[in-house]
Amino acid sequence: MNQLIPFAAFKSPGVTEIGGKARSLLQLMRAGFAIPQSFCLPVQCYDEFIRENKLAGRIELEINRKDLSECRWEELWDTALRIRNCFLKGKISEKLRQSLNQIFALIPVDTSLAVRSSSTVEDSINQSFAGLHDSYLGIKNLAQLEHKVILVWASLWSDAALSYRKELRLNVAESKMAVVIQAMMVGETSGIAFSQNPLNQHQAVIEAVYGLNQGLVDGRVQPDRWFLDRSSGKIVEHQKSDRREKMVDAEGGQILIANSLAERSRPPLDKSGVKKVYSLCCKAEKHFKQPQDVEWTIRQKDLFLLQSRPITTRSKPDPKENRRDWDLTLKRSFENLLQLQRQIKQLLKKMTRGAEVLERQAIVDCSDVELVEILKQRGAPLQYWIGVYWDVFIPYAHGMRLFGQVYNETVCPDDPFEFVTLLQKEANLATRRNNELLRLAEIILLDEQSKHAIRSGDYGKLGVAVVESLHRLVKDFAMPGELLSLSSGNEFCRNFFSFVTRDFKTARSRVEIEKNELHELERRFLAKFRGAAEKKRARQLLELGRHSFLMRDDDNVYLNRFKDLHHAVISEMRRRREPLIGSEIADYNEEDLVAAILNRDFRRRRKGVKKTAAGPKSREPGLKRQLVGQPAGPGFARGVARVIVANSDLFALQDGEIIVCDAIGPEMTFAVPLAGGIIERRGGMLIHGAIIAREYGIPCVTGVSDAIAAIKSGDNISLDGHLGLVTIERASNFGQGR
Amino acid sequence: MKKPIIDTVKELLFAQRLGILATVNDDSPYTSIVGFAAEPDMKSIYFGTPRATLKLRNIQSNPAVSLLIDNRQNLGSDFSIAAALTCVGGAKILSGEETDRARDLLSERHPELRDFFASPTCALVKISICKFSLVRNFQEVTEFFPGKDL
Repeated sequence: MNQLIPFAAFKSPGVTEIGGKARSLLQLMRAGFAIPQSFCLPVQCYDEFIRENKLAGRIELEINRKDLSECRWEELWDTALRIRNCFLKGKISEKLRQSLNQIFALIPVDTSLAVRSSSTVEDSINQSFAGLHDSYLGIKNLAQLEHKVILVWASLWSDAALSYRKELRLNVAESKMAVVIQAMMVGETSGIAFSQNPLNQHQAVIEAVYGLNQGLVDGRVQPDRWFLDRSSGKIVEHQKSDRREKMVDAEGGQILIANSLAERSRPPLDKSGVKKVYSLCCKAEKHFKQPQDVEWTIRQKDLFLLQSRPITTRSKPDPKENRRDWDLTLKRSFENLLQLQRQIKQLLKKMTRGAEVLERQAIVDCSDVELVEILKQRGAPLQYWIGVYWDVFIPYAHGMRLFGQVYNETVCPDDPFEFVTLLQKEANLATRRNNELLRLAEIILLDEQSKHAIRSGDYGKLGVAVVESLHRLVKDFAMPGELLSLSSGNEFCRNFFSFVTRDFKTARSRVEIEKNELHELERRFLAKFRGAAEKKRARQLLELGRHSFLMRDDDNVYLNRFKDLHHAVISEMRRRREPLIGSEIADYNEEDLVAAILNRDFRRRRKGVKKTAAGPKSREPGLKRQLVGQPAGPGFARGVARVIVANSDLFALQDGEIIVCDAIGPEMTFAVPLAGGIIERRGGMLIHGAIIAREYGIPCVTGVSDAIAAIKSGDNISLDGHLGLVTIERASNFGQGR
Repeated sequence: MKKPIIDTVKELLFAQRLGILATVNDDSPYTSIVGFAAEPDMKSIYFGTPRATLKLRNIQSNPAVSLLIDNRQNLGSDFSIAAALTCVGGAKILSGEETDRARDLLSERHPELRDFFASPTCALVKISICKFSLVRNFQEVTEFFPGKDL
């Protein structure tokens, strides 16, 4: 069984041979359901591919590099991308190619193919997760078919599958992927039917659209919806949709087109159609002995069953309760991301306008009551924008991921993260901010008055150009607002100016990516797409990737503006009540501060000293000598470690030191040009630290779980950004046995 | 969750039978495979060797040794899931009553070699460990000291 097998030729294969989806389709076919003409590549073909391309060791190494339960979702995505690239670099054997080629002689002329995953790890959890593995539609030739088969195989190791690795018992030795290849059934009307409404057990639900049901599954086309009484089969309610568009199979993939006037005015199913679909899903329920979620299509009046799986009710996951489920909901389709892009451009304008209004409020000269009012006025938008950040900005990061995926699929580069270079067309806010800091260092260097003011700590006497630059840094680049309180002797200002004048002027300027290299990569990518429509889509995707990449840093900068505005009021409240309350005011939270501002006698009840939970965290014995993370910025660095706990620690950074931190936030990146290397506890190739390290050509390792615990400021360390290793260099104890 | 370091160390010291012993031969390293047994306190490790072996001669002129204990299975997955423990220390050739404890532990660990350990021509050697270094997850290295960390 190491070649393509038509469903009709199967005897009675098990899940271990053809995977779960193929087996259930085969059962349906044998039970008399009309299904599209189907073939299967059994798991043996997957095995052969893995063996011939020596992939088992590579996958093993990737999934064991770090304990997956310690990985953030972004790191899982990186791991899945690396594995996917290994598959894409693999070659299909000549024998299998010939076997695949036969399929085109067996299906009707001008029929496209659908390629679907059918893994051996399918069980209850997999069935409840549509989208754990990949499926592809609209395949028209052998080259496309080979390519998509490889991608379906690779999706056994998708980020979502890795995330549920334990539950799926995913492992290199036993987990396999079979592939179902079907003649695509391009129906005039398609839809989904639930034999039992997940929200009402006495009803069934039928959803129908014109064209392919891909549009319905993606959420891009709104369906007409019927509710039926399960006992009588009678229609209880019909919810109409606008029926504006439908999805059809076109040369470059599936596209949305406008429905005709006749289609708009008539539901995709008439009453007898609804009944026919209902009877199909009842039959499927009876066959599998539990309520089913059925995908169907009608072609020239014939009803076909495309897929049937048990209904699982999933409530909208809460990130606090189940981070993994929530992460999986973040994935967005291309069209959805384009919508987000338009939405975000509007939102950013709104954010800027909103912040500007709030910035005009005078908080130093207002009354106490007014100050509390201002706190409310600033708190509400802050909460609102934090919500937008999670709902819109975070999912939008999938724009660059989608681009990366398509880039790797089409270009097949040796470095799976080559696409990041192509994303960096425009300097982001953090880089522009660093340029502003460089400019400030130059101004100070040439301005004797400012130099004197800085030396004496008399910041009121700073030159106009310096003050203007500080305003730009705070207003446009979200540097801390404390920079503008230019009272003499201000500690924050002292550290800041010491940093800027001492070191920043020596910092290297942004390593400009060679324009030619960028053009060459862009040309190579776009050349892979044929036809005007495909090329347009590729350009749109590149633009989406770039914008999403830019937003990755910029969204924080925009949001921080609201955080700073809010924080400024809190600081002012503390300043007003410190003479009355003393140093304890530092422990007052927002609620306490409001009470203290409105009532001068208010004192927070002293709370017992909080005990740290269950004593010190049990620590592993021994001293770490070499730590493993993800290689995130190529290069090798050796130097002194500077561990950053608070942002202000960055001011102590000396030229060439290696930054060790939890995660580099965009507000920290001003110090990066000075660093000899970067080590982050948080992992990922597309996180701020990794992005900015690549931008400046600084070696970087991310996802080093023990970094902060194991490394102390002043340790001599070396960092290998190619292999993802960090070595702490200590005097050797070897030879003590003498 | 990743297995605690201590569990990995114990597994290697008490479940593995063989280790690779490095001794110093003039200025060159010299390696041999030995059956070993470890004290429960993990401060020392014993092995036996015929009197005339090169490794014993090496120890007599330079007691610095290193013993590598690992759990590889000669599979591709070894690179990511095998662990290796390097035990660095000083070797001492035991004599008189000192040999009893070593012989008991070694015979219990390797019952098939009971007669070998009892032979008058078998030298019993004790390695007092001064440092361990554990490698796992392909490249993750941790160092620790018997008595202090374990």
